[in-house]
Amino acid sequence: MSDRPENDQYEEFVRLLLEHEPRVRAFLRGLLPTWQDVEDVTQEASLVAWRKFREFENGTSFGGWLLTIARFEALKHRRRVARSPLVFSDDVWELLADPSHEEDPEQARRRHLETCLQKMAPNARELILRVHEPGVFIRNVAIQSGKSEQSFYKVIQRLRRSLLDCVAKGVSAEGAI
Amino acid sequence: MNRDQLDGLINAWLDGRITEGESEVLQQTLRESTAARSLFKQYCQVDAELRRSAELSTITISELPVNESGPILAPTSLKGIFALVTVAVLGLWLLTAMSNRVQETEEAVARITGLSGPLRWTGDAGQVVHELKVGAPLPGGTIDGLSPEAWFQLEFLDGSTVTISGYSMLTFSDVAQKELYLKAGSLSAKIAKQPPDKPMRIYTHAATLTVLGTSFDVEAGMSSTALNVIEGQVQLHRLSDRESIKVPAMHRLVATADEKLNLETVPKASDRWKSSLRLGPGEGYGTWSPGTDDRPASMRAIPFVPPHATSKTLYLIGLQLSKSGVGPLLVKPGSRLIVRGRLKSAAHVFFGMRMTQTDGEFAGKFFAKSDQLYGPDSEFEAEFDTASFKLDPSVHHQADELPRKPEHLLLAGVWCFTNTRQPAGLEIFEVELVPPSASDASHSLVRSGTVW
Repeated sequence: MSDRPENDQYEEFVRLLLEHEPRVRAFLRGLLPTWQDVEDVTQEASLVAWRKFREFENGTSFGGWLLTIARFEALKHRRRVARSPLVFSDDVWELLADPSHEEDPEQARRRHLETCLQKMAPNARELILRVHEPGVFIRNVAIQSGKSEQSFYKVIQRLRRSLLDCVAKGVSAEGAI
Repeated sequence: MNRDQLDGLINAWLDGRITEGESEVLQQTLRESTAARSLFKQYCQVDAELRRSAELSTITISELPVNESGPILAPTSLKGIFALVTVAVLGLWLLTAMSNRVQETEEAVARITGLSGPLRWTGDAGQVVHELKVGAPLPGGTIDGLSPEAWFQLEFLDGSTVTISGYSMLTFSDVAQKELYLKAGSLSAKIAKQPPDKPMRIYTHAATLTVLGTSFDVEAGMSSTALNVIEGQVQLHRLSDRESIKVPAMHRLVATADEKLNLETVPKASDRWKSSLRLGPGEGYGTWSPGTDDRPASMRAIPFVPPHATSKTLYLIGLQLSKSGVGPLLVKPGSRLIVRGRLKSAAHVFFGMRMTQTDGEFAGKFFAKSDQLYGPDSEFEAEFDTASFKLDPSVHHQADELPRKPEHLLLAGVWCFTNTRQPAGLEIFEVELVPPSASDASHSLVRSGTVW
């Protein structure tokens, strides 16, 4: 990397980041208690990756390299997060934080999620997207819905599960072809 | 554990509502079962993808990249949308990353601990940032509050906090000594003990304040500075005649160029207030008109685009409650806010309040909507009970930290607006806070038609 002009390096870095950043966010989501933590660590990891980009060896996996950086940044961040039921104990965190076990089903998963979302009833699609909007608290949406909070959470759980099953089915059918 | 139970625990974790006991059970299952870990990761992946889709669904056409011939076409499929949001997100990330890199070259002297409403930070190198985030370090610079409901809190490295609210402009630095320039607006501060030889200094147009460790608030105008000291002591030095006075705890002082410096005790919180537009607009938002023989003084609404909903244009009037004119204003359960004005077109009237705790700490923004339509071409009197106020959408992200109702809090600023697509010609003559016991009496007086 080091012999290339900075502009070229920058373009190459942006291209690779575009490709792999969603995978990093998904990886971090399982390690950090809130989306705010995920956004902060993703940004920090991306900055560290840019600073160290000269050390990245062409031909090796950028995604794996970025996940390793993200894991380290998540570990640093985790030390600053207050204890809560959302913060897993060290041994569970280590089990979930092994980037070498991280699959990269990005393209296929995204394509199937798109299809599965389109298959959903419009009201259900709108609702599931609404509770995942940045800055939206699911509890507030539950209160506004007029349902009891518990039954609202059950609805969201069912929608997530139906999407998960639909995506898994699509990915598995693709693999069988 | 069956699949439904595991789904329930993972969903509770994703939603941030898992209990300690449930978390223990989930963690034990994740420890023991590879399949459970795989399911957990799949849920996280779907959650991340949904977040991306949802981010995109909140991006309006006006926020999408524009080419020379105008806005690009709206994407017709989610796939196209993903591509667009990726570009938008990357662009935003690069902007943030670049701004952070600039900030990292200078040493941070403080960090942002709270904010709400439209704000702008200008760094010493001329860098301008509107997208400020809680937790971001700042190396000094100037903060502008750009609307009546803007609010911003800064914490220095020694734990001292400074809050500005409404239309305010504050330049701050901490190179061995804290120096603040309050060019306009209101500032509240809780200052940790400062070194005796390097006290904190606050400069306004009319005075310099010297602070060694205390809690106070100050309001700066072009020709006057109003200071309320809650704890400790602040020395005020008037620039026009170089006169100095020490202001002790629970005292206040208004320093103008041509009046004697008179200390007063901070009055007890009052539960009633009436605006005085006949004296001028103050630091308000809107177009002020002086009173005539047949019309009272008024403020007219002007356009305002809320930063959390940029597709909307509200027509808004804001009134800052001057600290020099009134003491603390307490909103009690059953208090009423009465707005008197005029509308050219028929519209509902919305009313908003910014509240603080007794120590000046931000306590939320609340709004209520009138039950009935007012106008057209007529005067109106809209009355709002404190129970009808809800948390303002611009502070929903802090909902867990803020009180749910404005009751038992201090009133710091008010605003009024219409939310019609076109201007409805909103004009305000008077706003009044009425305590619960006096509501009926005040109301009958108003109805007799002798208010202006």
